[in-house]
Amino acid sequence: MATSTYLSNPVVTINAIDLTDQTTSAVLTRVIESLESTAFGSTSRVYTSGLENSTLTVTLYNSYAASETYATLKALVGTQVTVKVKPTSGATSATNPEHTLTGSYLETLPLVNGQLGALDTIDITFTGGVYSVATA
Amino acid sequence: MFKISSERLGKIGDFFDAAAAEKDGVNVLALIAGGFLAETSTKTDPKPAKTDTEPSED
Repeated sequence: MATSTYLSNPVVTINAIDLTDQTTSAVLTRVIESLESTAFGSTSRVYTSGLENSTLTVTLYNSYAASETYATLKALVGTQVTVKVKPTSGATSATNPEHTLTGSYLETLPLVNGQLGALDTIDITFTGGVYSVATA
Repeated sequence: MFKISSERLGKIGDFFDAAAAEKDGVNVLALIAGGFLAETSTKTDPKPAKTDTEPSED
């Protein structure tokens, strides 16, 4: 039977700050780089696992108000930070796991993304860090 | 010593364990820069000056 996950109320935490109510999209992708280990005698390419390089990309409304998006992110660009994503706001459990990237790097921070008649939104990506998942 | 000053971080006024947070990878300086933490004074009231007055025998 097909199942689906409906993310109506996920929790997004950046550097311990809950920015859920400014977030419209969160994509956490676990990436483990591939290293080719094909050798003579092989009839197809073969790969083995290399370093982990997971990413979290979030879309946020850009707000310069106190304790909002800009205040949270302005000092994080160019640094390592801990980010967390959980499917719902309920207690952490096996069916509501909390995914964490510890020491993930924020390389770029868009400061203004203004368009006529639209709210200012920014996309930021956290790269690398140590992935872990909590189920309790 | 820090206290939480934004609901996005926790309950306003609660003590924030910066050392434990740093161990979890939290950038405490960024929290301070963003106004999420307020440093509290660790000073205590100075002790009153000692007096040399003799006790009265009234």
